[in-house]
Amino acid sequence: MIKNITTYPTQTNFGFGGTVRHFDETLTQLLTDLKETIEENHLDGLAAFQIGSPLSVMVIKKENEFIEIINPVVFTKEGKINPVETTAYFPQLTATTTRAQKIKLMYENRQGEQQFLTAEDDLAILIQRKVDYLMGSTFLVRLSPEEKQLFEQKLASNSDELTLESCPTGLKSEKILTTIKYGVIVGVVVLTSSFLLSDSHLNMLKSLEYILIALLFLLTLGYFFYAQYEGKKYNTCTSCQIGNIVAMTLIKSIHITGLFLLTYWLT
Amino acid sequence: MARLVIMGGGVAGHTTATFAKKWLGKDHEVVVVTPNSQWNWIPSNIWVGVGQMEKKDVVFPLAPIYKKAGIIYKQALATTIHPEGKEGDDTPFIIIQSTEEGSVGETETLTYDYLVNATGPKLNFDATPGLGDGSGQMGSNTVSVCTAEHAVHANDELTKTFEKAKAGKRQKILVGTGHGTCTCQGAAFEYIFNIEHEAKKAGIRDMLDIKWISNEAFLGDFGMGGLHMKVGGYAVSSKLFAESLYAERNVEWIIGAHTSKVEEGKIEYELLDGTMHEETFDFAMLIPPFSGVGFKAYAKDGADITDQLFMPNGFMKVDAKYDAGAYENWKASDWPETYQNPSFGNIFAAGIAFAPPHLISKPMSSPNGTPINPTPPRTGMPAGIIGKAVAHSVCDMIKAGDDVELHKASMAEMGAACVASAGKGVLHGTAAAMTVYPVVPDFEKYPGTGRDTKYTFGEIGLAGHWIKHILHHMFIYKAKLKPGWTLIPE
Ligand SMILES: Cc1cc2nc3c(=O)[nH]c(=O)nc-3n(C[C@H](O)[C@H](O)[C@H](O)COP(=O)(O)OP(=O)(O)OC[C@H]3O[C@@H](n4cnc5c(N)ncnc54)[C@H](O)[C@@H]3O)c2cc1C
Repeated sequence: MIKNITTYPTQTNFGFGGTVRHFDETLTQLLTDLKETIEENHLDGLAAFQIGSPLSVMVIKKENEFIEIINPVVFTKEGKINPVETTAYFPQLTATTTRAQKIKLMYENRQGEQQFLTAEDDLAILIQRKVDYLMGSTFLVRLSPEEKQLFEQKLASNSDELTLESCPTGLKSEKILTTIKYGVIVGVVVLTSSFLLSDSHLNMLKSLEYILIALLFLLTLGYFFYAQYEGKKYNTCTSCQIGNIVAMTLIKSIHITGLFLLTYWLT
Repeated sequence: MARLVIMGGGVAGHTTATFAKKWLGKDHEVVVVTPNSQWNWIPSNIWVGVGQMEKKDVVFPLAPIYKKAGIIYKQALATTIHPEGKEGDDTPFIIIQSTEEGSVGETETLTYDYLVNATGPKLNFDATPGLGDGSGQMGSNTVSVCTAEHAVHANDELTKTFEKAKAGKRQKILVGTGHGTCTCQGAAFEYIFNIEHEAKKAGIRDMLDIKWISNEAFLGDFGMGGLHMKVGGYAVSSKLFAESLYAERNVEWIIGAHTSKVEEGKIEYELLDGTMHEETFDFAMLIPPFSGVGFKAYAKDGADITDQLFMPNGFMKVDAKYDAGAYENWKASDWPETYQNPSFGNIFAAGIAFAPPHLISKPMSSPNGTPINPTPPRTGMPAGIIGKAVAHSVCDMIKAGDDVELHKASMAEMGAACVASAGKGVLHGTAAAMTVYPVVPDFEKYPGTGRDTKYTFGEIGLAGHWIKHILHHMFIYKAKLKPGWTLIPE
């Protein structure tokens, strides 16, 4: 039977990594479902997890032949490559992952007999991607932090057009946000020492806190304008869009106001 | 007055003894027979092995604790069990051999009414040629962190390796399992990442090639088919976290491997596909496989009845289903609940000493027939919980007769939370918190996977390190029977 393939943003809430213990009719049916779903959607492979089964089963289509892989164990990985991958869970989106170029696989066939397979390049990449599904995840876990951030942008804008250049990580405006965050944390931590201080020291602390708060407000204002300037350069990038900038400015202002109120009451 | 004798004063035995004494009071005797004068919090040995703790931080003398608690303490090894007594006297007894300074080797007969075997594992180094010295002890080719003494030795050797690296000589470090049927991968995992962490701190990371070797089917398997972590609010396998950790820390790995031979600076291993390979090293810590300590048991007439009490691997038979057959027939209910020996109702096993009915993960072997799969994990939490349940049962039997309902603690109804250290430090330490429920998959309750992924928390970071560190102090506090010790969970 052709099955629905789980796609983003539906979160899979069933189990994963279930070892096949019985090589019976249920398994045969699962293999058939996987094959029919592959054919219907013109895919090169599917993990059982993608159609709602927690079992360690995948079917790979290679040169019009199906390989049925049950309880796979990748016991050797060699070489490193960075392919651009697509996957049915994130239709129309691509990401550059890190994969082994060559793998050795032990698995069972539908009769439960032990098999071995050495796979290279495209086949190796495909199998590795399916193994990630069998363990409850997607290729997101194979992305570098920069690629992951970029992919999250792609997901948010539902566009595959973004590149690391069109939406770089480590934008200056994001650094300003981080500085504000740490500024607020420092403010709160320093405030806690107010309980231990004498009156004269307390006044000094209060002045310092107010200076910090003023600086943080100025930084927030700076962020608001600078982020818009930066956003003009990277107009596809969601973190640079005006809605996001306004929201971040508001959130930071609330944090700083909170710090101000705490200082006012405690000192 | 009844006498409960506990063989082994480790995690399980100490728990049984201390709770039993608390519940039985002065009316009955609790005797602990254990060969070491000091109690060791074994999980912290990995920190001794990298010089971040000293031996004195992970051990304390047992005698004063037992004196305070009113427990009779025999520093000795139990050697034989005589559950039917001897000709003319039905009182069961064990023979013990002193290890106490001044009386080493002296034997004594110790009668009992109830006996608990909590002797843990025998570190079976000799199962792999070259891993042991041929007489049951660790050989000179590799190191271990299984005991506090081993960990001190491991740190000495690691220091020498680090010195060589500092002097500009590239060093190869190999850590993992020394046999295809090992368990305790978690300890080796912690050790390799603590070495990596210390190497970075010492500024010599780029002079070290660090490699992992294990019998697991995948990184992060830990002998139970993986634990669960939370990523983005959803449960995923520890495999994914482990793979990224190894890549991030630049630790190479070999899995699905049976270490078949160890020589100076070199091991031979067989992979799941039956191919043979070699790996060289300058420093290697390989965990040995475990077996039972190897007791003999005798009937009244002197006949050897060891097989009534023990499985061939030396672990004690309890209320498990040992004839479950092939993997597809395994059930959660095969696992023991009361840990009572089927032939002798007054004998129990607690902790690692009991014989599991079968593996937890799917059995695997190479085409040559070599088994390459972790044996069931034997961690501290189940050891403590089982130890307490057994203490409860024995106390009830003593107070209300042998027909009482026994207390249960099945590993198929226990979860495991594993906090694995990947580096020690107040600000820069890391540990991964992972969970799995139940430890033994229950395919009837949780069809498909046998596990409940809803019971999942934890991730990797500094917070994990702090939890691990706090656990160290909490468990030593509890073991020292300081005020409120009973409130600290097993
Ligand atoms: C390096 C390392 C790290 C670990 N880390 C963790 C961790 O982080 N978390 C966790 O949960 N578990 C961990 N474990 C596992 C944990 O230590 C064990 O599960 C636990 O110690 C088992 O308890 P036990 O009482 O069964 O055995 P043990 O604690 O080994 O105690 C057995 C006792 O019996 C004594 N004995 C042996 N032979 C005889 C005899 N013939 N007569 C009398 N006494 C005898 C021994 O001397 C010992 O005192 C680790 C293990 C190792 C080796």
